[in-house]
Amino acid sequence: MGGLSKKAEQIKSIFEKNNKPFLLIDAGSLLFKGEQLNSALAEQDKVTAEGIVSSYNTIGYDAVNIALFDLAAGLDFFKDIEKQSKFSWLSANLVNKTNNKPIFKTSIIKKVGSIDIGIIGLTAISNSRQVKNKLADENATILEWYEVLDPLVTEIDNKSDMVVLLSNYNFNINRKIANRFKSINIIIQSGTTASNKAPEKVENTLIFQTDKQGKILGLMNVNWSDSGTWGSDNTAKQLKNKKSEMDGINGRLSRFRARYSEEELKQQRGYINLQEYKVKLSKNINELETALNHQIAAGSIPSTYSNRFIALEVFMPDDPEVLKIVEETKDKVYQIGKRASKKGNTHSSGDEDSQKLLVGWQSCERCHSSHTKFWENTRHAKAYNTLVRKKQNYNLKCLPCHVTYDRAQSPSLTLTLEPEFQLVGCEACHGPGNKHIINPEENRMTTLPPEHICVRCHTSERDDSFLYQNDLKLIACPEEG
Amino acid sequence: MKFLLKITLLTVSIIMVYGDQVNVTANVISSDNEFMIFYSNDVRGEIEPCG
Repeated sequence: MGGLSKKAEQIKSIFEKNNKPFLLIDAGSLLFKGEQLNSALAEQDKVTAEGIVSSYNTIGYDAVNIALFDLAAGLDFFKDIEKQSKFSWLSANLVNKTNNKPIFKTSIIKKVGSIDIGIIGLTAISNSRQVKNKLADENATILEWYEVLDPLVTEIDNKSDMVVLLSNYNFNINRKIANRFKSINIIIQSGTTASNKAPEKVENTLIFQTDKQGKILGLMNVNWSDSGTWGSDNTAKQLKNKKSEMDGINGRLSRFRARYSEEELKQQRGYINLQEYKVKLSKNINELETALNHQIAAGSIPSTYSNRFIALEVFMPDDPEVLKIVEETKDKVYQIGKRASKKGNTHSSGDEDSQKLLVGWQSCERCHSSHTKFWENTRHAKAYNTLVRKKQNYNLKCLPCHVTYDRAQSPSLTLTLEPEFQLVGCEACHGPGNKHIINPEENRMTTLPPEHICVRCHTSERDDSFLYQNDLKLIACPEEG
Repeated sequence: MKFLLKITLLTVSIIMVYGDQVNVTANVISSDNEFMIFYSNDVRGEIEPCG
Protein backbone atom coordinates (compact mmCIF):
# COMPACT_ATOMS: atom_id res chain seq x y z
CA MET A 1 0.00 0.00 0.00
CA GLY A 2 0.91 3.62 -0.44
CA GLY A 3 3.89 5.43 -1.77
CA LEU A 4 4.19 8.81 -3.44
CA SER A 5 6.07 7.33 -6.39
CA LYS A 6 3.12 5.04 -7.15
CA LYS A 7 0.71 7.92 -6.90
CA ALA A 8 2.84 9.94 -9.33
CA GLU A 9 2.94 7.07 -11.84
CA GLN A 10 -0.83 6.51 -11.63
CA ILE A 11 -1.55 10.18 -12.32
CA LYS A 12 0.81 10.17 -15.28
CA SER A 13 -0.59 6.98 -16.79
CA ILE A 14 -4.26 7.98 -16.32
CA PHE A 15 -3.56 11.33 -17.96
CA GLU A 16 -1.79 9.64 -20.88
CA LYS A 17 -4.75 7.30 -21.33
CA ASN A 18 -7.50 9.94 -21.07
CA ASN A 19 -5.70 13.01 -22.35
CA LYS A 20 -8.08 15.28 -20.46
CA PRO A 21 -6.97 18.41 -18.59
CA PHE A 22 -6.73 17.87 -14.86
CA LEU A 23 -6.53 19.54 -11.48
CA LEU A 24 -4.32 18.12 -8.73
CA ILE A 25 -5.32 19.09 -5.20
CA ASP A 26 -4.87 17.94 -1.61
CA ALA A 27 -7.14 18.82 1.31
CA GLY A 28 -4.24 18.92 3.79
CA SER A 29 -2.85 17.05 6.79
CA LEU A 30 -0.03 16.33 4.38
CA LEU A 31 3.11 16.78 6.44
CA PHE A 32 2.58 15.33 9.92
CA LYS A 33 0.33 12.85 11.70
CA GLY A 34 -0.76 14.99 14.64
CA GLU A 35 -1.18 18.54 15.88
CA GLN A 36 2.12 18.34 17.77
CA LEU A 37 5.39 16.57 17.06
CA ASN A 38 6.94 13.97 19.34
CA SER A 39 10.27 15.58 20.20
CA ALA A 40 12.15 12.30 19.68
CA LEU A 41 10.84 12.08 16.12
CA ALA A 42 10.85 15.78 15.22
CA GLU A 43 14.08 15.91 13.19
CA GLN A 44 13.16 12.86 11.11
CA ASP A 45 9.57 14.07 10.70
CA LYS A 46 10.72 17.45 9.38
CA VAL A 47 13.06 15.86 6.83
CA THR A 48 10.22 13.58 5.72
CA ALA A 49 7.90 16.59 5.37
CA GLU A 50 10.45 18.26 3.09
CA GLY A 51 10.66 15.08 1.02
CA ILE A 52 6.89 15.01 0.64
CA VAL A 53 6.86 18.63 -0.55
CA SER A 54 9.62 17.89 -3.03
CA SER A 55 7.62 14.91 -4.33
CA TYR A 56 4.47 17.03 -4.62
CA ASN A 57 6.48 19.64 -6.58
CA THR A 58 7.57 16.93 -9.01
CA ILE A 59 4.09 15.40 -9.30
CA GLY A 60 2.80 18.88 -10.14
CA TYR A 61 0.20 19.55 -7.45
CA ASP A 62 -1.75 22.77 -7.94
CA ALA A 63 -2.89 23.49 -4.39
CA VAL A 64 -2.80 22.02 -0.89
CA ASN A 65 -4.91 23.07 2.07
CA ILE A 66 -3.17 24.06 5.31
CA ALA A 67 -4.55 21.70 7.95
CA LEU A 68 -3.79 21.83 11.66
CA PHE A 69 -1.44 18.86 11.37
CA ASP A 70 0.63 20.73 8.79
CA LEU A 71 1.44 23.35 11.42
CA ALA A 72 2.73 20.81 13.97
CA ALA A 73 6.38 21.87 13.59
CA GLY A 74 5.53 25.54 14.11
CA LEU A 75 4.77 28.46 11.84
CA ASP A 76 8.41 29.29 11.08
CA PHE A 77 9.07 25.78 9.83
CA PHE A 78 5.85 25.90 7.81
CA LYS A 79 6.90 29.21 6.21
CA ASP A 80 10.13 27.50 5.08
CA ILE A 81 8.06 24.64 3.69
CA GLU A 82 5.90 27.13 1.79
CA LYS A 83 9.02 28.67 0.23
CA GLN A 84 10.10 25.22 -0.98
CA SER A 85 6.67 24.49 -2.50
CA LYS A 86 5.93 25.03 -6.17
CA PHE A 87 2.21 24.63 -5.43
CA SER A 88 -0.02 26.98 -3.43
CA TRP A 89 -0.70 26.38 0.26
CA LEU A 90 -4.13 27.80 1.06
CA SER A 91 -5.90 28.94 4.20
CA ALA A 92 -8.60 31.60 4.35
CA ASN A 93 -8.78 31.59 8.14
CA LEU A 94 -5.20 31.21 9.42
CA VAL A 95 -4.56 34.86 10.18
CA ASN A 96 -2.20 37.29 11.85
CA LYS A 97 -3.45 37.69 15.41
CA THR A 98 -2.88 41.44 15.47
CA ASN A 99 -4.64 42.49 12.27
CA ASN A 100 -6.69 39.39 11.30
CA LYS A 101 -5.09 39.37 7.85
CA PRO A 102 -4.46 35.99 6.20
CA ILE A 103 -0.87 34.80 6.56
CA PHE A 104 -0.94 32.65 3.43
CA LYS A 105 -2.91 32.66 0.18
CA THR A 106 -6.63 32.25 0.84
CA SER A 107 -7.49 30.95 -2.63
CA ILE A 108 -6.35 30.54 -6.20
CA ILE A 109 -8.09 30.31 -9.56
CA LYS A 110 -6.79 27.63 -11.86
CA LYS A 111 -7.75 27.22 -15.51
CA VAL A 112 -8.41 23.56 -16.31
CA GLY A 113 -9.26 23.13 -19.99
CA SER A 114 -11.86 25.80 -20.59
CA ILE A 115 -13.02 25.95 -16.97
CA ASP A 116 -11.82 28.43 -14.34
CA ILE A 117 -11.79 26.63 -10.99
CA GLY A 118 -11.63 28.68 -7.81
CA ILE A 119 -9.99 26.84 -4.90
CA ILE A 120 -10.29 27.99 -1.29
CA GLY A 121 -8.49 26.56 1.76
CA LEU A 122 -9.87 26.29 5.28
CA THR A 123 -8.03 25.26 8.46
CA ALA A 124 -9.88 23.66 11.37
CA ILE A 125 -9.71 25.11 14.86
CA SER A 126 -7.85 23.04 17.44
CA ASN A 127 -9.46 21.92 20.69
CA SER A 128 -6.05 21.86 22.34
CA ARG A 129 -5.19 24.86 24.50
CA GLN A 130 -1.52 24.05 24.01
CA VAL A 131 -1.81 24.22 20.22
CA LYS A 132 -3.78 27.48 20.40
CA ASN A 133 -1.19 29.01 22.72
CA LYS A 134 1.63 27.92 20.48
CA LEU A 135 -0.03 29.63 17.52
CA ALA A 136 -0.67 32.74 19.64
CA ASP A 137 3.02 32.83 20.57
CA GLU A 138 3.71 33.01 16.86
CA ASN A 139 1.19 35.87 16.55
CA ALA A 140 -1.28 33.71 14.63
CA THR A 141 -4.80 32.50 15.18
CA ILE A 142 -7.45 30.57 13.28
CA LEU A 143 -10.81 32.26 12.67
CA GLU A 144 -14.11 30.43 12.40
CA TRP A 145 -15.24 29.46 8.89
CA TYR A 146 -18.28 31.75 9.06
CA GLU A 147 -16.03 34.73 9.79
CA VAL A 148 -14.11 34.43 6.54
CA LEU A 149 -16.15 32.59 3.91
CA ASP A 150 -18.93 35.12 3.37
CA PRO A 151 -17.15 37.66 1.20
CA LEU A 152 -14.54 35.22 -0.12
CA VAL A 153 -16.87 32.60 -1.63
CA THR A 154 -18.85 35.31 -3.46
CA GLU A 155 -15.65 36.87 -4.79
CA ILE A 156 -14.27 33.54 -6.02
CA ASP A 157 -17.63 32.50 -7.46
CA ASN A 158 -17.76 35.70 -9.50
CA LYS A 159 -14.33 35.04 -10.92
CA SER A 160 -14.66 31.34 -11.69
CA ASP A 161 -16.92 28.67 -13.19
CA MET A 162 -16.60 26.19 -10.35
CA VAL A 163 -15.73 26.60 -6.66
CA VAL A 164 -13.80 23.95 -4.72
CA LEU A 165 -13.28 24.17 -0.97
CA LEU A 166 -10.43 22.22 0.62
CA SER A 167 -11.59 21.93 4.20
CA ASN A 168 -9.94 20.67 7.35
CA TYR A 169 -13.30 20.73 9.14
CA ASN A 170 -15.33 17.60 9.85
CA PHE A 171 -18.31 16.46 7.80
CA ASN A 172 -20.93 18.04 10.08
CA ILE A 173 -19.41 21.49 9.68
CA ASN A 174 -18.78 20.96 5.99
CA ARG A 175 -22.47 20.12 5.65
CA LYS A 176 -23.34 23.44 7.31
CA ILE A 177 -20.96 25.22 4.93
CA ALA A 178 -22.60 23.47 1.95
CA ASN A 179 -26.05 24.48 3.17
CA ARG A 180 -25.02 28.09 3.50
CA PHE A 181 -22.85 28.50 0.40
CA LYS A 182 -24.66 26.99 -2.57
CA SER A 183 -22.01 28.23 -4.98
CA ILE A 184 -19.42 25.85 -3.50
CA ASN A 185 -19.54 22.87 -5.86
CA ILE A 186 -17.04 20.57 -4.20
CA ILE A 187 -15.69 20.14 -0.66
CA ILE A 188 -12.77 17.78 -0.13
CA GLN A 189 -12.12 17.27 3.55
CA SER A 190 -9.12 16.24 5.64
CA GLY A 191 -8.27 15.42 9.23
CA THR A 192 -11.49 13.67 10.12
CA THR A 193 -12.63 10.12 9.56
CA ALA A 194 -10.28 7.40 8.42
CA SER A 195 -11.81 5.96 5.31
CA ASN A 196 -12.85 6.64 1.74
CA LYS A 197 -15.98 8.71 1.59
CA ALA A 198 -17.78 8.71 -1.74
CA PRO A 199 -19.20 12.06 -2.86
CA GLU A 200 -22.30 12.96 -0.84
CA LYS A 201 -24.51 15.68 -2.24
CA VAL A 202 -25.58 18.41 0.17
CA GLU A 203 -27.56 21.11 -1.67
CA ASN A 204 -25.34 21.75 -4.69
CA THR A 205 -22.12 20.60 -3.06
CA LEU A 206 -20.39 17.22 -3.25
CA ILE A 207 -18.48 16.42 -0.03
CA PHE A 208 -15.87 13.66 0.02
CA GLN A 209 -12.41 12.44 1.05
CA THR A 210 -10.02 9.52 0.63
CA ASP A 211 -8.60 7.12 3.18
CA LYS A 212 -5.53 8.37 5.03
CA GLN A 213 -1.76 7.81 4.77
CA GLY A 214 -1.59 8.11 1.01
CA LYS A 215 -3.05 4.65 0.42
CA ILE A 216 -5.61 5.97 -2.04
CA LEU A 217 -5.68 8.37 -4.95
CA GLY A 218 -9.08 9.95 -5.57
CA LEU A 219 -10.15 10.62 -9.14
CA MET A 220 -13.20 12.51 -10.34
CA ASN A 221 -14.13 12.71 -13.99
CA VAL A 222 -16.20 15.84 -14.40
CA ASN A 223 -18.33 17.05 -17.29
CA TRP A 224 -19.05 20.60 -16.26
CA SER A 225 -21.94 22.55 -17.72
CA ASP A 226 -22.70 26.23 -17.33
CA SER A 227 -25.87 25.34 -15.39
CA GLY A 228 -23.45 25.05 -12.44
CA THR A 229 -25.54 22.31 -10.85
CA TRP A 230 -24.85 18.65 -10.27
CA GLY A 231 -27.36 16.22 -11.61
CA SER A 232 -27.95 13.12 -13.58
CA ASP A 233 -27.77 13.72 -17.31
CA ASN A 234 -30.78 11.49 -18.04
CA THR A 235 -31.55 12.66 -21.55
CA ALA A 236 -28.05 11.98 -22.87
CA LYS A 237 -27.96 8.66 -21.02
CA GLN A 238 -31.36 7.56 -22.41
CA LEU A 239 -30.31 8.60 -25.90
CA LYS A 240 -27.16 6.54 -25.66
CA ASN A 241 -29.14 3.49 -24.46
CA LYS A 242 -31.75 3.82 -27.21
CA LYS A 243 -29.05 4.07 -29.86
CA SER A 244 -27.38 0.94 -28.57
CA GLU A 245 -30.74 -0.80 -28.72
CA MET A 246 -31.16 0.40 -32.31
CA ASP A 247 -27.77 -1.09 -33.21
CA GLY A 248 -28.96 -4.44 -31.86
CA ILE A 249 -32.20 -4.32 -33.84
CA ASN A 250 -30.38 -3.41 -37.05
CA GLY A 251 -28.12 -6.39 -36.51
CA ARG A 252 -31.02 -8.78 -36.03
CA LEU A 253 -32.85 -7.40 -39.11
CA SER A 254 -29.69 -7.89 -41.18
CA ARG A 255 -29.50 -11.52 -40.14
CA PHE A 256 -33.15 -12.03 -41.21
CA ARG A 257 -32.40 -10.45 -44.60
CA ALA A 258 -29.38 -12.67 -45.11
CA ARG A 259 -31.39 -15.80 -44.40
CA TYR A 260 -34.67 -15.12 -46.26
CA SER A 261 -35.78 -13.70 -49.61
CA GLU A 262 -37.91 -10.54 -49.81
CA GLU A 263 -41.04 -12.67 -50.28
CA GLU A 264 -40.21 -14.97 -47.35
CA LEU A 265 -39.53 -11.99 -45.07
CA LYS A 266 -43.17 -10.88 -45.46
CA GLN A 267 -44.20 -14.13 -43.77
CA GLN A 268 -41.69 -13.88 -40.91
CA ARG A 269 -43.57 -12.66 -37.81
CA GLY A 270 -40.32 -11.94 -35.91
CA TYR A 271 -39.04 -9.77 -38.77
CA ILE A 272 -42.31 -7.84 -38.99
CA ASN A 273 -42.39 -7.22 -35.21
CA LEU A 274 -38.81 -5.97 -35.29
CA GLN A 275 -39.57 -3.59 -38.14
CA GLU A 276 -42.54 -2.17 -36.23
CA TYR A 277 -40.46 -1.77 -33.08
CA LYS A 278 -37.70 -0.05 -35.10
CA VAL A 279 -40.15 2.62 -36.26
CA LYS A 280 -41.17 3.31 -32.64
CA LEU A 281 -37.57 3.39 -31.51
CA SER A 282 -36.56 5.81 -34.28
CA LYS A 283 -39.32 8.16 -33.20
CA ASN A 284 -38.15 7.91 -29.60
CA ILE A 285 -34.56 8.66 -30.59
CA ASN A 286 -35.64 11.70 -32.59
CA GLU A 287 -37.56 13.05 -29.59
CA LEU A 288 -34.61 12.57 -27.27
CA GLU A 289 -32.24 14.24 -29.73
CA THR A 290 -34.55 17.23 -29.96
CA ALA A 291 -34.80 17.43 -26.15
CA LEU A 292 -31.01 17.23 -25.80
CA ASN A 293 -30.50 19.97 -28.39
CA HIS A 294 -32.95 22.18 -26.48
CA GLN A 295 -31.10 21.54 -23.22
CA ILE A 296 -27.80 22.41 -24.87
CA ALA A 297 -29.24 25.64 -26.30
CA ALA A 298 -30.80 26.62 -22.95
CA GLY A 299 -27.65 25.77 -20.97
CA SER A 300 -29.68 23.63 -18.60
CA ILE A 301 -27.75 20.38 -18.87
CA PRO A 302 -26.65 19.39 -15.38
CA SER A 303 -22.97 18.85 -14.64
CA THR A 304 -22.09 15.21 -14.18
CA TYR A 305 -19.24 13.31 -12.57
CA SER A 306 -17.93 9.88 -11.80
CA ASN A 307 -15.67 9.10 -8.85
CA ARG A 308 -13.00 6.42 -8.31
CA PHE A 309 -10.80 5.52 -5.39
CA ILE A 310 -7.56 4.08 -6.74
CA ALA A 311 -5.81 1.89 -4.17
CA LEU A 312 -2.04 2.36 -4.46
CA GLU A 313 -0.80 -1.21 -4.24
CA VAL A 314 2.74 -2.47 -3.71
CA PHE A 315 2.86 -4.10 -7.15
CA MET A 316 2.06 -0.87 -8.99
CA PRO A 317 4.89 0.80 -10.94
CA ASP A 318 6.84 3.72 -9.52
CA ASP A 319 7.59 7.07 -11.07
CA PRO A 320 11.42 7.06 -11.19
CA GLU A 321 11.83 10.76 -10.42
CA VAL A 322 9.60 10.68 -7.34
CA LEU A 323 11.07 7.34 -6.27
CA LYS A 324 14.51 8.98 -6.26
CA ILE A 325 13.21 11.76 -3.96
CA VAL A 326 11.64 9.15 -1.67
CA GLU A 327 14.88 7.15 -1.53
CA GLU A 328 16.94 10.27 -0.81
CA THR A 329 14.53 11.26 1.95
CA LYS A 330 14.63 7.79 3.47
CA ASP A 331 18.41 7.98 3.41
CA LYS A 332 18.37 11.33 5.26
CA VAL A 333 16.04 9.85 7.88
CA TYR A 334 18.35 6.83 8.14
CA GLN A 335 21.42 9.01 8.67
CA ILE A 336 19.69 11.09 11.37
CA GLY A 337 18.72 7.93 13.26
CA LYS A 338 22.15 6.40 12.82
CA ARG A 339 23.87 9.52 14.14
CA ALA A 340 21.53 9.60 17.14
CA SER A 341 22.20 5.92 17.88
CA LYS A 342 25.96 6.57 17.89
CA LYS A 343 25.72 9.57 20.19
CA GLY A 344 24.23 7.24 22.76
CA ASN A 345 22.11 10.04 24.18
CA THR A 346 18.84 8.73 22.87
CA HIS A 347 17.34 7.87 26.23
CA SER A 348 17.61 8.62 29.92
CA SER A 349 18.98 6.25 32.52
CA GLY A 350 15.37 5.60 33.57
CA ASP A 351 14.71 4.16 30.11
CA GLU A 352 17.67 1.84 30.44
CA ASP A 353 16.44 0.57 33.82
CA SER A 354 13.05 -0.06 32.33
CA GLN A 355 14.60 -1.96 29.42
CA LYS A 356 16.35 -4.18 31.99
CA LEU A 357 12.96 -5.66 32.87
CA LEU A 358 13.17 -7.40 29.50
CA VAL A 359 15.31 -10.53 29.40
CA GLY A 360 15.33 -11.30 25.68
CA TRP A 361 14.03 -14.31 23.80
CA GLN A 362 17.13 -16.45 24.39
CA SER A 363 16.33 -16.49 28.11
CA CYS A 364 12.85 -17.75 27.28
CA GLU A 365 14.31 -20.43 25.03
CA ARG A 366 16.03 -22.18 27.93
CA CYS A 367 12.69 -23.52 29.21
CA HIS A 368 10.37 -22.96 26.23
CA SER A 369 12.41 -24.17 23.25
CA SER A 370 9.40 -25.56 21.37
CA HIS A 371 7.77 -22.13 21.62
CA THR A 372 10.81 -20.18 20.47
CA LYS A 373 11.39 -22.63 17.64
CA PHE A 374 7.85 -21.98 16.43
CA TRP A 375 8.25 -18.23 16.93
CA GLU A 376 11.49 -18.15 14.90
CA ASN A 377 9.43 -18.96 11.81
CA THR A 378 6.88 -16.24 12.38
CA ARG A 379 7.00 -12.77 10.86
CA HIS A 380 7.49 -11.33 14.33
CA ALA A 381 10.97 -12.86 14.48
CA LYS A 382 11.89 -11.25 11.15
CA ALA A 383 10.24 -7.89 11.74
CA TYR A 384 13.47 -5.94 12.22
CA ASN A 385 15.13 -7.54 9.17
CA THR A 386 12.25 -6.24 7.07
CA LEU A 387 13.24 -2.73 8.09
CA VAL A 388 16.92 -3.40 7.36
CA ARG A 389 16.03 -4.59 3.87
CA LYS A 390 14.05 -1.41 3.26
CA LYS A 391 16.67 0.79 4.94
CA GLN A 392 14.10 1.92 7.49
CA ASN A 393 15.89 0.50 10.53
CA TYR A 394 16.84 3.95 11.85
CA ASN A 395 13.40 5.41 11.19
CA LEU A 396 11.75 6.13 14.54
CA LYS A 397 8.31 6.02 12.97
CA CYS A 398 8.91 2.38 12.01
CA LEU A 399 11.22 1.00 14.68
CA PRO A 400 8.90 0.73 17.71
CA CYS A 401 6.74 -1.89 16.00
CA HIS A 402 9.66 -3.93 14.72
CA VAL A 403 11.59 -4.39 17.98
CA THR A 404 11.02 -5.39 21.61
CA TYR A 405 11.20 -2.50 24.06
CA ASP A 406 9.30 -1.01 26.95
CA ARG A 407 6.71 1.03 25.09
CA ALA A 408 6.19 3.33 28.05
CA GLN A 409 9.58 4.83 27.21
CA SER A 410 10.69 7.22 24.47
CA PRO A 411 10.77 5.63 21.00
CA SER A 412 14.35 6.91 20.67
CA LEU A 413 15.33 4.02 22.96
CA THR A 414 14.75 1.72 19.99
CA LEU A 415 17.82 3.14 18.21
CA THR A 416 20.25 1.58 20.68
CA LEU A 417 18.80 -1.85 21.43
CA GLU A 418 20.95 -4.94 21.74
CA PRO A 419 20.53 -7.42 18.83
CA GLU A 420 18.41 -9.80 20.94
CA PHE A 421 15.75 -7.06 21.11
CA GLN A 422 15.96 -6.17 17.41
CA LEU A 423 12.91 -8.33 16.63
CA VAL A 424 9.38 -8.70 17.95
CA GLY A 425 10.23 -11.18 20.67
CA CYS A 426 8.31 -13.10 23.31
CA GLU A 427 8.13 -10.16 25.71
CA ALA A 428 6.57 -7.84 23.12
CA CYS A 429 3.35 -9.88 23.51
CA HIS A 430 3.75 -11.58 26.93
CA GLY A 431 5.33 -8.70 28.88
CA PRO A 432 8.67 -8.37 30.75
CA GLY A 433 10.15 -11.69 31.89
CA ASN A 434 12.62 -10.49 34.55
CA LYS A 435 10.58 -11.80 37.52
CA HIS A 436 9.38 -14.91 35.70
CA ILE A 437 12.93 -16.20 35.03
CA ILE A 438 13.73 -15.96 38.75
CA ASN A 439 10.59 -17.63 40.02
CA PRO A 440 8.37 -18.95 37.21
CA GLU A 441 5.70 -20.49 39.46
CA GLU A 442 5.03 -17.33 41.43
CA ASN A 443 5.43 -14.95 38.50
CA ARG A 444 3.30 -16.40 35.73
CA MET A 445 3.44 -14.74 32.31
CA THR A 446 0.40 -13.62 30.35
CA THR A 447 -0.16 -16.58 28.07
CA LEU A 448 -2.65 -15.05 25.67
CA PRO A 449 -1.83 -11.45 24.74
CA PRO A 450 -4.97 -9.33 24.94
CA GLU A 451 -6.12 -7.47 21.83
CA HIS A 452 -4.99 -4.08 23.10
CA ILE A 453 -1.37 -5.32 23.06
CA CYS A 454 -1.64 -6.36 19.39
CA VAL A 455 -3.35 -3.19 18.18
CA ARG A 456 -0.56 -1.02 19.50
CA CYS A 457 1.08 -1.98 16.20
CA HIS A 458 -1.63 -3.69 14.16
CA THR A 459 -3.70 -0.54 13.91
CA SER A 460 -6.23 -0.04 11.14
CA GLU A 461 -3.80 2.48 9.65
CA ARG A 462 -0.94 0.01 9.35
CA ASP A 463 -2.75 -3.30 9.03
CA ASP A 464 -6.31 -2.88 7.87
CA SER A 465 -6.78 -6.62 7.40
CA PHE A 466 -5.90 -7.42 11.04
CA LEU A 467 -8.51 -9.48 12.88
CA TYR A 468 -7.50 -10.38 16.43
CA GLN A 469 -9.22 -13.76 16.63
CA ASN A 470 -7.90 -14.89 13.24
CA ASP A 471 -4.42 -13.45 13.35
CA LEU A 472 -3.75 -14.72 16.86
CA LYS A 473 -3.67 -18.21 15.36
CA LEU A 474 -0.70 -17.21 13.21
CA ILE A 475 1.47 -16.53 16.24
CA ALA A 476 -0.06 -18.91 18.81
CA CYS A 477 2.81 -21.01 20.21
CA PRO A 478 2.19 -24.79 20.23
CA GLU A 479 1.33 -26.60 23.48
CA GLU A 480 4.49 -27.63 25.31
CA GLY A 481 5.02 -31.37 25.17
CA MET B 1 -22.94 32.53 -19.40
CA LYS B 2 -19.61 32.13 -17.66
CA PHE B 3 -18.12 30.20 -20.51
CA LEU B 4 -19.14 28.91 -23.86
CA LEU B 5 -20.42 25.40 -23.82
CA LYS B 6 -19.08 23.66 -26.83
CA ILE B 7 -20.46 20.29 -27.56
CA THR B 8 -19.71 18.54 -30.76
CA LEU B 9 -21.92 15.74 -31.90
CA LEU B 10 -19.98 13.30 -33.95
CA THR B 11 -21.53 10.54 -35.91
CA VAL B 12 -19.23 7.67 -36.45
CA SER B 13 -20.19 4.89 -38.76
CA ILE B 14 -18.38 1.68 -38.23
CA ILE B 15 -18.62 -1.19 -40.60
CA MET B 16 -18.30 -4.44 -38.74
CA VAL B 17 -17.92 -7.77 -40.37
CA TYR B 18 -19.43 -10.29 -38.01
CA GLY B 19 -20.93 -13.22 -39.87
CA ASP B 20 -23.13 -10.86 -41.81
CA GLN B 21 -22.35 -7.31 -42.76
CA VAL B 22 -23.94 -5.05 -40.17
CA ASN B 23 -24.06 -1.27 -40.11
CA VAL B 24 -23.52 0.00 -36.59
CA THR B 25 -24.03 3.65 -35.81
CA ALA B 26 -22.58 5.14 -32.65
CA ASN B 27 -23.01 8.71 -31.54
CA VAL B 28 -20.24 10.16 -29.45
CA ILE B 29 -20.71 13.33 -27.46
CA SER B 30 -17.45 15.07 -26.76
CA SER B 31 -16.92 18.44 -25.13
CA ASP B 32 -14.09 20.67 -24.02
CA ASN B 33 -15.51 21.05 -20.52
CA GLU B 34 -14.56 17.56 -19.45
CA PHE B 35 -11.70 17.35 -17.01
CA MET B 36 -10.30 15.25 -14.18
CA ILE B 37 -9.68 16.12 -10.55
CA PHE B 38 -7.02 14.05 -8.81
CA TYR B 39 -7.41 14.54 -5.09
CA SER B 40 -5.89 13.37 -1.84
CA ASN B 41 -5.97 14.15 1.85
CA ASP B 42 -4.42 13.03 5.12
CA VAL B 43 -1.12 11.74 3.79
CA ARG B 44 0.05 12.48 7.35
CA GLY B 45 3.77 12.41 6.79
CA GLU B 46 3.80 9.00 5.11
CA ILE B 47 6.40 9.05 2.38
CA GLU B 48 6.47 5.25 2.09
CA PRO B 49 5.26 2.39 4.27
CA CYS B 50 7.76 1.02 6.83
CA GLY B 51 8.02 -2.56 5.66
